[in-house]
Amino acid sequence: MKRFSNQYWIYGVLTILVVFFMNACQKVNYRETTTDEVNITGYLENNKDQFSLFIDILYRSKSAGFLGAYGTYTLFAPTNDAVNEWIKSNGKSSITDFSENELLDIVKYHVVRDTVGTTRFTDGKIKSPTLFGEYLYTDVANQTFRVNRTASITKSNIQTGNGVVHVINKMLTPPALSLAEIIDSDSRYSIFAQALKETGFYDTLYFKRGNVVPVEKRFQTVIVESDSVLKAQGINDYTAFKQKYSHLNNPKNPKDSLWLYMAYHIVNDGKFLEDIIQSMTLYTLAPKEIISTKFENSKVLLNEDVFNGVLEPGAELNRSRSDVLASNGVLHESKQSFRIKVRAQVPVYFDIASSPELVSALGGSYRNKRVSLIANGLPIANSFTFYPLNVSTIGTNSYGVSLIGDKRPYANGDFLDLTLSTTSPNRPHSFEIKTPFLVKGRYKVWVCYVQNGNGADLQVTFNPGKPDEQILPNLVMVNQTLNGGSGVSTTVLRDDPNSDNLLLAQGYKRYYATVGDYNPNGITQGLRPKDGDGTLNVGRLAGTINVETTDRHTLRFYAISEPRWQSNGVWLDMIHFIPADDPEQYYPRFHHYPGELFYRPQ
Amino acid sequence: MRKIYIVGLLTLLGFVVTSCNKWLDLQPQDGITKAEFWKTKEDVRAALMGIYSSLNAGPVETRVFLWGELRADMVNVSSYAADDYRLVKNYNVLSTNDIANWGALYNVINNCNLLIDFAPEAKAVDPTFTEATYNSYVGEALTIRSLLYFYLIRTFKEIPLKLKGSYRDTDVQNIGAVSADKVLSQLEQDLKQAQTLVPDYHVTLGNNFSINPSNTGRITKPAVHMLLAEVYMWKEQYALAEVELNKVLSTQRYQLIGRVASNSFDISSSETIFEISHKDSRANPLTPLVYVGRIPYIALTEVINMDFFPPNMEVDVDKSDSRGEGVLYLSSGMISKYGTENPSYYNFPIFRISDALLLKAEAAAEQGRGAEALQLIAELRESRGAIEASNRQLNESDLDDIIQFIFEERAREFAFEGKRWFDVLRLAKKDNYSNIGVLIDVVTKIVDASVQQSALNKVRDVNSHYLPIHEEELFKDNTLVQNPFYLK
Repeated sequence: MKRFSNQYWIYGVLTILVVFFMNACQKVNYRETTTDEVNITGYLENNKDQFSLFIDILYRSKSAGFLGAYGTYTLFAPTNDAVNEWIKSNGKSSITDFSENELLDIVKYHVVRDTVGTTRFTDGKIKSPTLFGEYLYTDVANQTFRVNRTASITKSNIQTGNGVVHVINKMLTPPALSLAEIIDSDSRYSIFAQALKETGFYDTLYFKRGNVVPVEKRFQTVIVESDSVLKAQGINDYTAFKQKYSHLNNPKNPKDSLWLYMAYHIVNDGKFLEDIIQSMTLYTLAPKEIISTKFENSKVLLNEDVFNGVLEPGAELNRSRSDVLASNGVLHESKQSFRIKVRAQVPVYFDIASSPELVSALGGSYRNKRVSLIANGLPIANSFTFYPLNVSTIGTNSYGVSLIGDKRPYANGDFLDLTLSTTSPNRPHSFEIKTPFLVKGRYKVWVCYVQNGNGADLQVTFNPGKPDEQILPNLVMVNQTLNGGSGVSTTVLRDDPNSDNLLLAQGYKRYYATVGDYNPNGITQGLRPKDGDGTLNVGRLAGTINVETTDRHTLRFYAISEPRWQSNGVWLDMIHFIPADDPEQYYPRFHHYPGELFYRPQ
Repeated sequence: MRKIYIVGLLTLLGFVVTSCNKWLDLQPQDGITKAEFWKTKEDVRAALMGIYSSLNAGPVETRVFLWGELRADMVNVSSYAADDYRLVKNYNVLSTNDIANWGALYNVINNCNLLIDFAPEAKAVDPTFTEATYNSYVGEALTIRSLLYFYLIRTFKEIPLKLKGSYRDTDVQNIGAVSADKVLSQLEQDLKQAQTLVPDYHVTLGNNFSINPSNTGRITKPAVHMLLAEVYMWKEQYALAEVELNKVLSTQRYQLIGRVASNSFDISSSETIFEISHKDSRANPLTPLVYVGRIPYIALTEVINMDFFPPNMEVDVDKSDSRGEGVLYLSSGMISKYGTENPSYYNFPIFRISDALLLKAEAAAEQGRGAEALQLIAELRESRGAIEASNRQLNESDLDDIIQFIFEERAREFAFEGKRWFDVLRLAKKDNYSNIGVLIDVVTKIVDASVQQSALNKVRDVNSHYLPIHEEELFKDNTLVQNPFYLK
């Protein structure tokens, strides 16, 4: 004992040992992560009972690390049952029977490089393509979201560290057939299929993965007409079809009307019904020919247009047989036949305040009371807009009404009261409006305004920002009356029977009914004198435009300078589009009463 | 020397003792504890006023408006609305959507529960607390609680039913949700009890008949009858509902005011049975949402002007319905029912006599008395100056059409009052969802074209007609079970 007590170092060693022992026993668990959230691969591994086979696929295709790393992805995760079913349907017995590339392709088809929750699903494609390069299509069936019309989502919007997981009950497989093959293999489309082959469009619509195609041809949309639709018009086979349409008897010739007929059914770019509804016009392969689209009571209608005030019934797309996914696009079927409409150019007298969209937005206020064109920061109708929209006085732009006896009356009793200015930061500088349908051809554009001394000079642009943009040569100076600056004096206006032609030579015209004009209904009330107040309603020739496609186009009015500084008021009444070679440029004239036209004195 | 010590020690002692005094007192300085409250009838009255105050604070009315209008066909979202609400309109709701936030209502429910729990304590110690006053306070709290639970079950179907107040942390417990039927039978029982407690008038009117805000801004017996009638209508027990409605109508206490004007809802009128009062109190929370400034919600004029207030085309072209465009809403979509200035102190109507008339008409039609139903609608329409274009020429035996007509008239009469969706849902779910077509019509009218087909498919699942339980609530109470529609 004494031996020990003298050897103090032993105490020291013991103490140190005790300290070590005690510390060693206390294992401190420090949390080394900032969150328990796992990434996509981690989520699958936490739920192995459901996804073990898909995990296997991920590892075999060497993409597990990819989905475990940071990024923004959406994975459609098939359950084990789904994978088993897929293996069987491919005639194989296990995942090992697939090559690495096959597995990688199938994984890529299940991943979108974006986080897409179900709130962003529409009745159409997911807006970002899969890593495979093709789009997925979503809809709802049996009250459940579906992908590609086959796989139902059984659990949605699972948030992980690098994206969203949706669990699906079937594997997604890229569509095997191209548009050409789908049409060819469907016996209901036999006439249409043969016509495709005869016109050469079969090759346009054919695609095999791996083929290199121009970007704009990678996805296409075709609207087919089934045999029964054609038979309803007495076309029982291809021979009859060719006989009816092929006027050059050479369907491969792009001038042949059968070629044009088929071209008119094909659109570059994959457009699902949802895209068709929203685009309003489809640009077809037939040069400069468009299909107009319309959405009404959940029907999608093609070429149903009001033309010259007459409703032309269109063709309805068959929803249950549309949105068919192909490897290179989408197929739709129409319930009725439709073709290029041959139309002659006609003058269009566009009352700018009575465009159909605006009238429906105005409701009971139409021709009744003043209404701001802006509500809650946005235009009240989608047929017009201002630039910029976020200026402080934007709400003063309004739809206005007038009375028949006013010093400044308006055609149809209404007008657009705009405040445009290029210098004031509180006012928009431009106003843009959609025209009615214009048949392709050349037109003179007459801007009909009511004189306002404070208004800006307007530059008119046709289809701004489009390939066929045209800036019109003449400025519309809204402070100008018909006399004086127009080059024609008041005396001439009042007394010279030839004054209309003199005005025309200067690029001006009267558009409001004037004393002496003839009205079939004998209206004489409110006609304008030839001088004085009668010079305030001015039609100004802005220039000639070349309309390349029969469609609704856009006109922009841009304020470029302003003679005075006060209200910047621009009072627009009408725009006339009159075919350029039409000798009649100044009649008919218009009146406060809607629909009353006035002609040359008889 | 010793004296000095003693004096010194005593002084010290004095300091120590007094300073400790405050130190040991742990009463909060800026509030009242439960031990000090619930002593007098004034305390209970203050608690009751607290209930009404939490009712008109804003969140409750905003919820009622959103739940009752957003999914229906009379209100649209403008560009200023939050994405969550746009998704609600497009029938694309997740359990994280703010629309499912029910906190505001449970807040008021808790205030009601506390009063019901503790008023007896005050009654026991305050001899001046009369039976009648006590009954009235408890009855009012019961009715308001029932009113809010009724909104909740119509919105969520299965909800937590809490009938005890929470005033300390241990009172907050996981109670899970109970079925709508259970809640409805609880409401029926509570309201029957409230009927025996609440007086006809809080302020007796003198010979000069006039309207007193205390009788419209506080629950009176007719309001209890109205709520019970609505509960019976929801349960499709039309005969029972009619009994309650007759009790209201037979009083002759309420009269239609005739044509309405844009400021008719500013103050209580001879029509008002119960309203959330804002007069001389807080501003109406809806004015900045629907009229003044950058408003997120606007009237869906393209549907309203076509389906509910079509203009006369051939006869009497100049006539217009007094509830239509230009009066209670403008063509730009601004809704003027809740005032046109900011702040506005318009009241938020809950029950009006026109509601009793139309419910009675519906109950009559449901029981095969078409002629009586038509006569009641005609009475209201004549008073409001309804026009021929919105009239329906119906035979008294076309009961289904008469009921459709009643719901159209309800849309006109209660536009933007947070009733339309509940009306449409009541019509749709009747007779085991035999009228689900009306919901499909609504979806066709309001949902964006790009998701319309999805929405049309979803609406066929009856569970989708109720909102999900919010994710946060599921997290707080793990015994809550999510609506199965939102689990996929």
